[in-house]
Amino acid sequence: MTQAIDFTVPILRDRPTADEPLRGLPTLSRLAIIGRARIEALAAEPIVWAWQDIASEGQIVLVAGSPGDGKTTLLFLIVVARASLGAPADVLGRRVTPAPPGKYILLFEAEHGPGSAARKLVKSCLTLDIDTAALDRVILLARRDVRLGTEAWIEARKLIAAGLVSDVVIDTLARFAPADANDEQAQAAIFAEVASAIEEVPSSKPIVWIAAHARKDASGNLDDVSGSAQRTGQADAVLFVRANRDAHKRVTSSTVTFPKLREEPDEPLGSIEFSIAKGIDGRPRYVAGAAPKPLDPRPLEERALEILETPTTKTRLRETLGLRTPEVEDLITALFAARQITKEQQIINGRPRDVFRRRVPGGGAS
Amino acid sequence: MDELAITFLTPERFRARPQVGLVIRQDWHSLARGLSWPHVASRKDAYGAWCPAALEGGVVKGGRGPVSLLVADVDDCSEGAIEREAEALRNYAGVIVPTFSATRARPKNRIVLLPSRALAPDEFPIAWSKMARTLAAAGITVDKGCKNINRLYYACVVRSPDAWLGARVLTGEPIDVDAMLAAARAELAEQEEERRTRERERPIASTDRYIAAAIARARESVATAPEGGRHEALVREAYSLARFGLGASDIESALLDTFVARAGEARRREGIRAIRDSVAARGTAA
Repeated sequence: MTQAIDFTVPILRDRPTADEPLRGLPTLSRLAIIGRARIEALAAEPIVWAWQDIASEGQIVLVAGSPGDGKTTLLFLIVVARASLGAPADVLGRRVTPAPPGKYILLFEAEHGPGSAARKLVKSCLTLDIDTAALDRVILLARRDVRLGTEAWIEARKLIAAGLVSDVVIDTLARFAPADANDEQAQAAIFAEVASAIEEVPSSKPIVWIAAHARKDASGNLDDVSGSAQRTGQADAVLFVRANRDAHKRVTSSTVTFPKLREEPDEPLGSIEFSIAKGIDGRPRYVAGAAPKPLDPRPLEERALEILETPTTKTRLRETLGLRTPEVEDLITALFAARQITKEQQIINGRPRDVFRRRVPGGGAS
Repeated sequence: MDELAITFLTPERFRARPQVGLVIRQDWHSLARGLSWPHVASRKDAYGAWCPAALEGGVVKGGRGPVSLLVADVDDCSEGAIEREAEALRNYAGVIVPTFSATRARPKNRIVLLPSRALAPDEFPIAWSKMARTLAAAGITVDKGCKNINRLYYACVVRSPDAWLGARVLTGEPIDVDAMLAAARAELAEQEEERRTRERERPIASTDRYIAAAIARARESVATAPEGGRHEALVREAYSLARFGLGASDIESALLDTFVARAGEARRREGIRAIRDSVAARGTAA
C-alpha cells in the first residue's frame, strides 16, 4: 500500500549521525573515502606511473629552474615520450609510459613561438628515438596571448573535461598568468584553476606539468621556486633543473634534483645529470646519468631468480628487469606457481612492503 | 468548518471584464458534490469557474480573502495517477477531479483538500507551498500557478460522458491547518538557516577565487580613480571583467555601488549604462 501523505510533518534535511556521519551531506558523501575497508583497498591499488617514481595521473608536477637551464628541454622530452605510440622511453633513468590511446597532450608554450616550439618537439622525438607520428597527439598552443581566463583556456577546459587530454603542459607559469606575470596570487590561482580542471575529468585524470622560474642563484630548494612556498605546496612533485656551464657560460648539461615527490621511491632519486649533444650521425643524442644496461640474453625467470637471491620489492624487480607492471605481475605469479619464490613483509622507509625472495629447495627461504 | 465560503463565477461573469464573482457559502459535502459532478460541454468555460477564496466583493483581479480549500492541479502525470493520488491522500477529506483535457493515458486532475479551518490570506501561501512540497516528495508534481490566492478553476466539465474518468472522493479528516503551518515554518526556518550558512561558508571554487580576485582589483581601481577618470575606470574594468563571461547584472553588483559611492547617486544611471555598453562591446569584440 502506498504510504499516506502527512502534511503536518516537516520535510527536514537528513543530518549526520554517529552511525552515518555523512548522512545528509551529499557533496562529502560523493567525495569522501571513509572507513578501513575503502582506505585499505585504495592503499593496495598499484600506482599507475606516467613517469616512474615521479608522476602519476592526476598530479601537478612543477619543473622549476632559471631561464635557459633546461626546463623546456626536459618538458619537451616528457611531452614526446607521453605522446609516443611505441614503447616506453627512458628519461632521467626513469621509464615514461606513453599516454593511453586516444588521448592528447595539450601544450601551452608561451615562451617560444610556434616555429621554435615545433622544431623543439621534432628534435625531442629524434633525441629519444621516438617516431614523429607521436606529434599527431600533441595539441600545441604556442602563443603568448593564450592565458588563464581567455577563451582559449575556457575551451581547453572543455577539452580536458571531455576526458581527451592525458597531459597538460604549461610553459611557463608566469607567462600563463592572466595579467601581471609577477603577481604571485595570480600564479598561485593557476594551480587552483588547473586542479579544478583536472577534477572535472571523471576518470583517468590528466597530469599537469608546469614550468616555473626559480629565484636567481637558486640552490635547488623548494623555497627557490619563484619564492612561493604556497606554489610548491600545491604541486605534487617539484623538479629543480639547473644548468652546468663551461668557462664560456655555455650550457654543457643540466642537473635535475627532486626536492618534492608525492610518493617516496624505494631508492632516493638524488640528482641526475642529463645533456643533449649531437651524435656522430648528426642526430641529437640524449645522455642521462644512468647508463643504459647491457642486454642480458638469459631467460627472464633466471635473471629474476638471481635478483631474488636477496629480498626484493616488486617495484625494484620491475625496474631492474625493465618490465612493465603487468609483465612483472605475470612473472611473480609464474614463479609462485613453480614454488620458486616466497613472499614476506619488511619495513622499508618506515612502511610495510611486500618483498619476494628465492625459495631454498626443500623448504624455507634462502 | 460548518460552511465554506468560496467565490463562484457564472459563465457570463467569467467572460465579463472586470471579473466579479459571487461569494457563496455551502457545507463541505454539497460543495464536494458540486465540484466533482461532471457537466458535458464542448467548452471548458461553459459552466463558469470558482475560486477557493471568498474574494472581497467577489472581485477577482488583485482579490484576497479567507481561503476555504487547498487546490492543486496535477498536469504532469501518467496512467493511473488519480488512483495513486487518492491512495496517498486517503487520510484526508477532499476530492480528486479529472480536468477537461484529461485522458486515460494522461489523467490530468485537480486535487481539492479540505482544511480544518479557513486560511487567512497571509497563511495561504505558506500552507499551499507546504502542500506542494509534500506532494512533490510523494512524487506528485503540481502546477505552481495554483499558489495564487485568486486563481480561478473551471467548473467540472467533460467533453462527453465517455471521456469522464470519474472523480474520487477522499473520506478522511480535514488537514490540521495549524499543525501544517507549524511544519511549514519549521521547513522554512531550516531553509533560511541553510541559506545563511551557505552565504557564510560558501566554498569558493578555484575559478571563482580567481574571478573574486579580479573583481576586488577592479573595485579598487574604480574606488581609487581620480575625479574626471571614474567613468573611464568603470568602463575599463567592466570590459575587463566581462572576459570571464560575467553578465551586465553581475558586473553591476560588483562595481556599481563602488562607482556611485565615489561619483554620487546622481550618476547611477550613467554607471549602469557604462557597464552595459562595456559588456556589449566585449560581446562584439569576442
